[in-house]
Amino acid sequence: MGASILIADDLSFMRMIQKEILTERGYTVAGEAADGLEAVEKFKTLRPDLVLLDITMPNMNGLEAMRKIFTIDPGAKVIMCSALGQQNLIVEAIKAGVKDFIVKPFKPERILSAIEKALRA
Amino acid sequence: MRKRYVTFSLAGGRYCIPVDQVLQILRLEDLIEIPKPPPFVEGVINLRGDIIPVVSLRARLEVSSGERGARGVPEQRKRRVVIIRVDGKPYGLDVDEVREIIEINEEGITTDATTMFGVRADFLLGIARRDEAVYLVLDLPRVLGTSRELPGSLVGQSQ
Amino acid sequence: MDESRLRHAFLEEAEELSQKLGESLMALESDRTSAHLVNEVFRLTHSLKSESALMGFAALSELAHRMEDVLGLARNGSLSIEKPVIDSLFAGADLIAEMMAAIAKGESGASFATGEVLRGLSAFGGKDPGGTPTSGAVAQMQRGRAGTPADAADLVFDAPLTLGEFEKLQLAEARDRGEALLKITVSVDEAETMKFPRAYLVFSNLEAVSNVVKVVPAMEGEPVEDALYGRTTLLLTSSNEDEVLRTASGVDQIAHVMIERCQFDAFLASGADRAGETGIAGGGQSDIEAASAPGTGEAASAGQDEQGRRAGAVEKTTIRVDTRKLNDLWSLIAELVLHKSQIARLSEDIGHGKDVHSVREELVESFDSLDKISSGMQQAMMDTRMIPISVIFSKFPRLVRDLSRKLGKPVELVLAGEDTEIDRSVVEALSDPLTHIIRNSLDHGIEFPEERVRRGKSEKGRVSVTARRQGGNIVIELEDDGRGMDVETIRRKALDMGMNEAETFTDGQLLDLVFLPGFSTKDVVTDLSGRGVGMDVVATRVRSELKGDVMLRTENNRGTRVTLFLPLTLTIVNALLIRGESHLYALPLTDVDSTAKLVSAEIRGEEGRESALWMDEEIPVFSLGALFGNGRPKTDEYFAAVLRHGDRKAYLVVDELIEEREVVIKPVDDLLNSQKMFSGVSVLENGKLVFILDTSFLRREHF
Repeated sequence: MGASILIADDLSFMRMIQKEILTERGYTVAGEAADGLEAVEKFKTLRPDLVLLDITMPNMNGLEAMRKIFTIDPGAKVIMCSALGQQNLIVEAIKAGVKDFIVKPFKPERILSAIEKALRA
Repeated sequence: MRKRYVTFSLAGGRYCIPVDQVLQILRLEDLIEIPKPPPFVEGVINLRGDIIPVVSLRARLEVSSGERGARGVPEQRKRRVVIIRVDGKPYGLDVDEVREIIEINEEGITTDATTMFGVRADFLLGIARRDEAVYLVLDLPRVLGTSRELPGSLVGQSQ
Repeated sequence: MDESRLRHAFLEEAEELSQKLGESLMALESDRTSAHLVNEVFRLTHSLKSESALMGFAALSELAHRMEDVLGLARNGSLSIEKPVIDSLFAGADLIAEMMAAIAKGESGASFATGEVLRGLSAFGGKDPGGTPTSGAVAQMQRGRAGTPADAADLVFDAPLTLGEFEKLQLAEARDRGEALLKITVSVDEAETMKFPRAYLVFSNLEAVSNVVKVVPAMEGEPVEDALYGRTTLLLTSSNEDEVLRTASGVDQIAHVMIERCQFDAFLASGADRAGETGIAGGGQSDIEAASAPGTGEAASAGQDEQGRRAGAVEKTTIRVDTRKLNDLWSLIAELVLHKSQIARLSEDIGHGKDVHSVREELVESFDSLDKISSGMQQAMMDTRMIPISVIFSKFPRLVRDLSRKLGKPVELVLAGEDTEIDRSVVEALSDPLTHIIRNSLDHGIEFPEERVRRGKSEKGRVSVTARRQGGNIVIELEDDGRGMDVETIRRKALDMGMNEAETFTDGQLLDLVFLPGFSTKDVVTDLSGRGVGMDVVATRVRSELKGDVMLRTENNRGTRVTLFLPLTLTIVNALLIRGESHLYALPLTDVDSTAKLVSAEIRGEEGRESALWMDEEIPVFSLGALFGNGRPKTDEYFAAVLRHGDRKAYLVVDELIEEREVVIKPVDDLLNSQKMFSGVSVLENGKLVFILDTSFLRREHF
């Protein structure tokens, strides 16, 4: 494994949990971002193998950030995290090219399986 | 090339049209009358909101029920309206009975002797023979008069 | 992961959130309209909801969730922060603080009685989960779902795969290209809470590697019940079955994928999944009865009808509407109520003996206002049917990106006019043709980078799609800067086909030929670089179904532009419903001055040139009977409508004046309108047919 992953979520608690799950599995957390702007910036400099993006973030939401990331790298692999009831946004994200989406609250196996499939593709 | 056709009878004669032009087949009961219908138009059918004109093939093809009078009287319960699509629009054809779907070799459709069957020749694409039966192949755009350059067009005819 | 470490981290974060929540609410109480504060509280409750849910504190999460809902409504403007709302929110925040304290002590927070507070919050609505998107605010109007079957087993969307003309053409072309026809059935994991997006993900991925012809349940337009997407069926063609299989199974949360190879003929002949069954595109049910056909399989049975009805019954009849539009309507209704009271007052005044003439001016004013309000409301209602064309445009970027990578042609896509609004009913029908044209541009129009450079063009190709309103039409232009088409080649082809007139055709006329069926055939493909492929079906879709037009312009080596003109659909008018013998007709109210009763003696003149007095004027008298039926009946009294045009008037004698109502006008086929007397036809709820009279006909001949 060892793939590098960028985690973006405005809740530090969430980021911490995701980081735990990923490092335990052997992935490298390339960096963390607390809002959309930071996510795009860090993507530019770190060029991770995959990005975990939360849909609702301040300053720039996940959908916007994802679009910007795609203009930097059309082949970027992004997985979107959303809360229940954001069907519209998820569909928009799929149209824009997201690899997978995860509904919160999620189980660790779920996020790992999604990452694995996305990296393999 | 072999193609499939829907066959039906009308005033004792047998006709056929390509299957891919047939959208649906309905009973005659669903026919709605309209005020001052143009010639050959028996009424309309309301199919899921689409108002589709129903044309009387008997009248349109000027099929003389003279010779075949006896055989030509249709059994009410077998009468059907065949919904077809011509030029992108749906129309209905009132026929005596819908029969079977057969395969015809397109090269086998001959265009001679079309005047023998008591039907206006310009409404037919030709004749197909199969197992000793003869089917008249209809030229639907002409029957419905949707080709604008042709004379005898239904559109624009005044009472 | 260490359980206690997790708990500790949660507590730290959550307690901080809870405290901030209390503070923000207090600030909000003093400044109720601050959008910033509302947002702040929304985010805090959202975060609390997510975190506590993750930790399994369900009661806490639900409470935070309910609060988030209320704030969601405040955020999009449908709820204002009045005292009761703030009080309720405070109650929630306090309870959260208490629960946090209990959790800190090691309890689970489940024993707290949240019922009352929850009810208090529910009073402000918003039972639906929150998560209102920020830009382009679209709020879901639907509250609860009527008639949702409880059992998951019932929720199998079993509509047969019926195909329309366009789809059948796609199949025929795919067959000619030597592709395989595959039917993929995907079953979404039971545990997946959002089945539609999951199915959409599969669909979207498959679209990138194959030609998806049909999907059931539908992906475009309004989605049906989410659970129905638990099992989705896709019909597609592909030259690489392995890739399709890999793609379909490469999506997570899919329990089961079934791939079936199918025969093209089965779908092309009858256009349906089962042999011997035909139906008008759109999942219709067939009525073919006992057509004893060798080799066509069983005749449609009653069971099938039932299935179709069940599938049809589950189809959603709710729509999503932008709340701004609803607010507009609401303002109009408020004005309406105002004028209603005004009129009530005036009528009371008259009742109390006030002179009619003195109130006349106020009355006229009120009527004028009512007129304007009702037009405004009609327009507002029609607006709710309009949605921005971005719903179609939004999938183009990905489509272009995927295609451009697959073909190895870098292409830039430019979109404009995405917020141009179109009628909802048009959306589904437009999506396919537009996608097809873009595919064409990339496949055949845009050259490979080396060739482009050789021709002095930029390496990157460019495709632009713009939409705009122009008069009563929506104009959509798709343009590429690729090879363009050589009109002389088209001329030669036309001449080859026996079209001698083509010799003298102008460029425009030659380009129109591309829309004819003959030009889309495979052997012409190489000559025209494949551009003509499928254009005839696009033309049919746009011209016949959407009642619009399409035009092609090109310049050799510079590019090609396809322009679509679409009329703003749906005409709804207020009309007077009348009856003549057994038929119903409608007169647009704008053409009706009033109604009257005529006595036989009042009608003077000979048949065909009759007239009668109206006020002081002698005006012509016509009758439905004479125009459409068996002549005017001879009775003593007649009901009539007084028609008007400018200052000209006429009586139209009818058998019955029924009522004034709104009618939706559908165009009437030329075949039924040989005398051009009808401007359209309408179908009432009871299924009865109403012919809308075109009064200009009457004006023309008889006035």
